[in-house]
Amino acid sequence: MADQLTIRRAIHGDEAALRALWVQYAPRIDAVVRRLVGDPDQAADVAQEVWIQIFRALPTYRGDSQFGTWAHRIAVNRTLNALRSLRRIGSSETAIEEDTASVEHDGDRSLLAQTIDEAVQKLSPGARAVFVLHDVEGYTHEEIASELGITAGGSKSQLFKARAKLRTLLKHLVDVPISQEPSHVAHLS
Amino acid sequence: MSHISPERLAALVDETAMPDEASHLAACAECTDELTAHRRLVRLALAEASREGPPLNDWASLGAMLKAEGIISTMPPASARTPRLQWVMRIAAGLVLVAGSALAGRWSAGIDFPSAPQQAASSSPAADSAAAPVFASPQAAMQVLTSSQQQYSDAAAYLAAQDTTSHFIGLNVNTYRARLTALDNIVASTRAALYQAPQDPVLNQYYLSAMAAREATLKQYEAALPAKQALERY
Repeated sequence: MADQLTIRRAIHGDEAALRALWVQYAPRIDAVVRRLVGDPDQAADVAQEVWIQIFRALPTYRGDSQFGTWAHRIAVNRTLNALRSLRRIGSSETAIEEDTASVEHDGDRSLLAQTIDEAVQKLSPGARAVFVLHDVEGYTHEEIASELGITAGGSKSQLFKARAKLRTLLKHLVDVPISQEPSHVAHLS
Repeated sequence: MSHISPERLAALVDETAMPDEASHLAACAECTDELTAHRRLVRLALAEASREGPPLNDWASLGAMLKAEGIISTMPPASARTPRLQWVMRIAAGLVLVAGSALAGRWSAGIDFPSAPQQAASSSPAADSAAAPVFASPQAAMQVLTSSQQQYSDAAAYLAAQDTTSHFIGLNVNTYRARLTALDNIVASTRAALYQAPQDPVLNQYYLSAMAAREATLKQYEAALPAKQALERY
């Protein structure tokens, strides 16, 4: 309920309300932008564009879904457009870079997540977008195909190549025998 | 059969293995371990979805962009207004409620509105006020409050488009200008207060009502201006 009031105030251009929405949702929205874009400087620029787009579209928000879900869709769409304009997403058969450099291993949960982030950044923009949208954000191949202007088959092909690449880059994390699997991994299923 | 390719193993996380692949996996520990590793990778990726991070920008830079885009309202704060208008602020808070009462009064007095919507005619405020409302919870009350505010905004917009009051109670551009000044002060003062208490329902109610009344009055003001005079400022 508080969100509805905040949103209505934000529609009227109330800075405090706009800021409250940004404070509440930026950690999640910006994380998606960061994962999709990769480069931190470019991600910051795209995130700014994303938030302007979200706030500009506020009057069209009807409350049919959670505000976060609605904003998330805009963020993904706007980020992919930005990547397209930067020519960082090409055709459906964008090659995955042959970078076999591994990443540092650290057992700490927060560093472990950063390591996955690092590994994802080693994928080509197209493969990264497909992997992040499918395996992290839960999009279907049909939705990804629609967003990226590719076929569902092309999306699958990119995804499997990306996973194979990440499996090599994250060997130290995913090779642990089941009997020695860290508890935080075991809890993820 | 030779070992299953890495990309095919990656696919088998989502897809069912073909019979020959299933036979191979049952016999080959190396490929089974690889498939397990791929499944673990996908679980790790899924866990990433809930991971948040610090915002990529600060509010100062984003706020400046939003102001430049006209998304943040740049209406001057109350303190920037002339001192002679400060007294208006003290009584202005009642104006929104008076306006609301006037609307209800006009309605209950049977004044016809041209082309009044069916939806409005079906829910008379007089009838609604016959029985005191009972709310099951604060959330239910807030829901009614929000819905009422929306109805009030819609009604104000409707009246702004079809208002006939100026013909019989003598409203003119000076009246609208005074009303706008008062409403601006309410908006500015409630907005300032909302910085300290952003969730306060009373402040939110006054703020949103004043904004709706302001928008409606602007339309009335514009309609009351001489034909060749466009509204640029008041």
